[in-house]
Amino acid sequence: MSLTETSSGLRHAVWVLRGNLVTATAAAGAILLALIAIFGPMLVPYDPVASDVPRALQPPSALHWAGTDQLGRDVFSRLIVATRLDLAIAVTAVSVSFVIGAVIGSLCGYVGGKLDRAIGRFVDVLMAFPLFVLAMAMVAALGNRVENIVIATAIINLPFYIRFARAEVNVRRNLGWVEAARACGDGHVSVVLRFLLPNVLPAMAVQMSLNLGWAILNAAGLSFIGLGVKPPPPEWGIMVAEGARFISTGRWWLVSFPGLALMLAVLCFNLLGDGLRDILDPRMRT
Amino acid sequence: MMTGQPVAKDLRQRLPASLELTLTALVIALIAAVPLGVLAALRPNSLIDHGVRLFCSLGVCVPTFVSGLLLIYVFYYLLGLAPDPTGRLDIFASVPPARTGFLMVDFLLAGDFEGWWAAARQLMLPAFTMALFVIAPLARITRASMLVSLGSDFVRTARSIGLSRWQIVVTYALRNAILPVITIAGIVFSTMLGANVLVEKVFSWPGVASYALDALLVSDYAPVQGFVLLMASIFVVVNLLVDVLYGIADPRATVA
Amino acid sequence: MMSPLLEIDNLGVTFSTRRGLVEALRGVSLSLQSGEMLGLVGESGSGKSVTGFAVTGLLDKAGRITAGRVKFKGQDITRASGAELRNLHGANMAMIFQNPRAALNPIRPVGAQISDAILSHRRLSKQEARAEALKLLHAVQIRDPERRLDAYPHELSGGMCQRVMIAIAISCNPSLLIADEPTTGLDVTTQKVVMDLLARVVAERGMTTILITHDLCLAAHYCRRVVVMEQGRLVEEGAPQTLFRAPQHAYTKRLVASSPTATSRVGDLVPADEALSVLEVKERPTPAPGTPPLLDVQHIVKRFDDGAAAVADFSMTMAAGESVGLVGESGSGKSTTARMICRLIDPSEGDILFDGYSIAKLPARDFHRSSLRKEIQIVFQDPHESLNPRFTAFDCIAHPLLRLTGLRPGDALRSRVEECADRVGLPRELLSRFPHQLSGGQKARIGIARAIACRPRLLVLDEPTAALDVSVQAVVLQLLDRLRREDNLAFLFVSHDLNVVRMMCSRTIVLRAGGIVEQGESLALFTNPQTDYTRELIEAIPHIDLPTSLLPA
Repeated sequence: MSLTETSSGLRHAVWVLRGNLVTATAAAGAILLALIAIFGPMLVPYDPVASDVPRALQPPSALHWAGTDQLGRDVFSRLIVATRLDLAIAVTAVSVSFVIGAVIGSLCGYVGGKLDRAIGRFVDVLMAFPLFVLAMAMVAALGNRVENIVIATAIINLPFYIRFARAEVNVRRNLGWVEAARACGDGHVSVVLRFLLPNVLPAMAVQMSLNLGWAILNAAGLSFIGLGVKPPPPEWGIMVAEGARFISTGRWWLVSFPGLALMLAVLCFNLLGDGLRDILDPRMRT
Repeated sequence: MMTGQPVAKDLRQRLPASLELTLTALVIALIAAVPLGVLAALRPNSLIDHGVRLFCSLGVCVPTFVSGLLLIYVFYYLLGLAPDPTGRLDIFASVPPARTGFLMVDFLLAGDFEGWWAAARQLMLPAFTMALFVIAPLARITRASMLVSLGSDFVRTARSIGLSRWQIVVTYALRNAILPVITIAGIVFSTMLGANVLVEKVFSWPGVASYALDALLVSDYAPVQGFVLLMASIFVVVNLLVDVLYGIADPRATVA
Repeated sequence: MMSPLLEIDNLGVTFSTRRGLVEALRGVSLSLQSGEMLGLVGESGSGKSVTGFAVTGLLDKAGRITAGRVKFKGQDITRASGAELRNLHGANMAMIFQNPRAALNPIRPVGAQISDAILSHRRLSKQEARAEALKLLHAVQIRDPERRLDAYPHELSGGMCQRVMIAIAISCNPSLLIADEPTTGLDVTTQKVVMDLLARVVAERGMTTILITHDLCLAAHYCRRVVVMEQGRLVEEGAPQTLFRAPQHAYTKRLVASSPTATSRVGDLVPADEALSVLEVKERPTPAPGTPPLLDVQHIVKRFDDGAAAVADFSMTMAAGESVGLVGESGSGKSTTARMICRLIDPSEGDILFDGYSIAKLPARDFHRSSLRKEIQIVFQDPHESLNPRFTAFDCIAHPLLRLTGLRPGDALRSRVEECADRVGLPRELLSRFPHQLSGGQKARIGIARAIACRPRLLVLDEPTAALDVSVQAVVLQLLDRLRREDNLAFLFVSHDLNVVRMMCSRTIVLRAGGIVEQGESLALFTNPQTDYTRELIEAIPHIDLPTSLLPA
């Protein structure tokens, strides 16, 4: 790609962000989350795992912004520290899924034939299972550890990327400029790698951002039912699980704050995904 | 192993509970989502459109277990409207003769309206929790599909021949718009089968998912395998139904 | 004199787009007497379709009438309410649209759609409406109408769908019918059938018609009065004879000159002051006796997966610098043949010899590595689709140079790309732009520049101007003709437009359903066709009878 692209690309990104407040806020939110994930644990006011039982189950106050849980731990600090774990799981799983899915999907879409049909069958079988259930079963089978949550989440995300890449490549495969590339001397592999993938990636990047949100929900859900991450390290899903017992007696802060954190994180990534599409589609540039 | 009975028998006993929950939730979701989506598409950029879009954006972000717990907090603890959120029926209530296993149906068949109302009240919160999760994608696809439909060439033709507004919106636009919604409803059902696990845990609903979950946590894997297979089969059946429905609705679809 | 049926007075329409307000119509004034058929001609952006939509109140949500009035039967309908419009639509004015299959409800049987139209304005029972619908299908000459009543649009051909549309439009006997590009996208023979039908139907029922089209010859053939539009303004109106013989406005002159007729020549396509400078025809070097022809196609066949033969036994030869036209309707196999010759797909049988070397034996997926790849290049149909949206114009033209000639990025590459851009008349400052920032004509030039960059000897052109406006097409055709003569390029010109092929090619091959129907020297073929099919094709072209002595000199 020419040099003219990168500098005007940045300028365009700024133009879109300035024109679209929502995307800018989402982008800021995502950056903030990343920063919290990286630096949060060093800046929290309280030790997230130290119990202080006399101070258990206190509602939010000036001392404890989000109250304390049943072991007297500060909920706010645990919330901040949990960001790192949740984001790490989601980002790793989605990245792995994205790369593998994009390559497989593009090849299927371009080559077609037996390979396409075989992989198509595999994807269909995978998608025949309710994915959360599948993730549950995988973690159960592989063992109750964090790495297995990542693997399970990556696998259940694969079908989306494969299908998406395949569809996008299929649509573009017969376009005039792809034939023109071949007339200009590019072989099939070259066409896929140098032309189709870069045109397909923007759309998939949107998917990636949306999937990040879904992966976070997945990981939290798995932890909620007791799989994957085990206490005491804080994680949003576990925090909700532990707080669930106390909701019917009116201790709302144990569930609400982790729930709010989850919601905000997913919201940021969803909105960012929509905004990313505007930036990366060169046809929107004026 | 836990219950001393073969897994298949356990699953069969508990299946109606899960199905009743999921189907009720789906019905609630469709009744809410489709009109919302249609209204939002009919009045683009109005208050209701922005409201629906906002709701959709937020709706996909809240995890089911959080919304379930918050609903319990509001309706049980604060407002006292909902009954104690454990199980399908109050432990003191009597169970009707099991004909279908669906409490709502069995109570009606037995003519026991008090029992029916009690069971319905227990069903409301968990069903709403699950419905909330899927209203967002359903409303969003309805709105998007309706917008495409309303802007299409054939709707312009319908306007050019002076058809009534109702005919244009319902017979021409909506019938075409509903096609992708059917497909998505099938996919959404799959998500709901998964969400079953979370909702049944929050509300202690005696369905197949909580059965498998309890087994899982004590490392008893046979129920888990049975559960996964059962879920897959249900999903395949539902997909077939969706294909059939789609084939009826869209004369262009050919059976491969 | 009776008052006009339709009066448009100083109409202005504005669209609000992402880039601000765009004036689509400016001060358009028109009046239509009852029973007239008016042709509204213009290229893209002229506002002709917008005029039609403004009259019927079917403008897009983003468009608004900002000035002027529309009076129908003496009543001002510019700001008609929804209810008033609904009364007008169908019963008083009707429209037929450009893409007939998309204009019909895909999941509703066509009979039901016609009945819907009937029932919205007349009180009839369902059975009566259905009987009426059947009568209408008879009137539009649909074969086997009883069965077709329950057919869905996707089961009907494009021509049949358009006839159904006509049936729907006339179902409630409107006084005004607006036809918006009704035959664009239809084969030329189907076009003739549909237009003849339309003309007959409106004459029988005494309907006033506006025919909106980009094809001046079509309007001239069927209408007694033609109006020319440019950039939202009405520039000239008059009888077709007058417009062709003595156009007044500069734009009309250009439009008339560039509309290919049965007798136009490439050199006349563009008015003298804008034409490319006249080229002296170089003496073509005669090949030494015994050298093989540049292209020798021997009995190629293409069979697709389902067994159907898209191309059956095609053979031809071509000499260096010759231009051969390949014509046919949709489904004739001309595109498939072109792609086989260009080695983008493999023939199932047969051989292709280029300069004596067999190139069919080399599979298409490896052809890019052969040294012959740069000798055969292709110009594609849709300029919007054939350029990589992520490449600048410079990158597009440089692409084959980098891959096929071993040039590396640097001064040599830059000067070669600029040279190509100059030759096709593309201003150098546009080289750094992206395709979406360029016009259709500019994109077409880039496609041509890319194709000639490696100095090929054979250029395959697959409908290179089909997606362009007629005036842009004129310039591009002149450009192509000049390039061919300068470089002694051989052309394989695939097109459905017989007038264009007649102008550009010395020899023509007519294809039908994958087989050759007739071939021969273009002039002879067009003036004296040997087969019925060719004769049918030629007669289907809308033409205007002009005495040859009055043609532009």
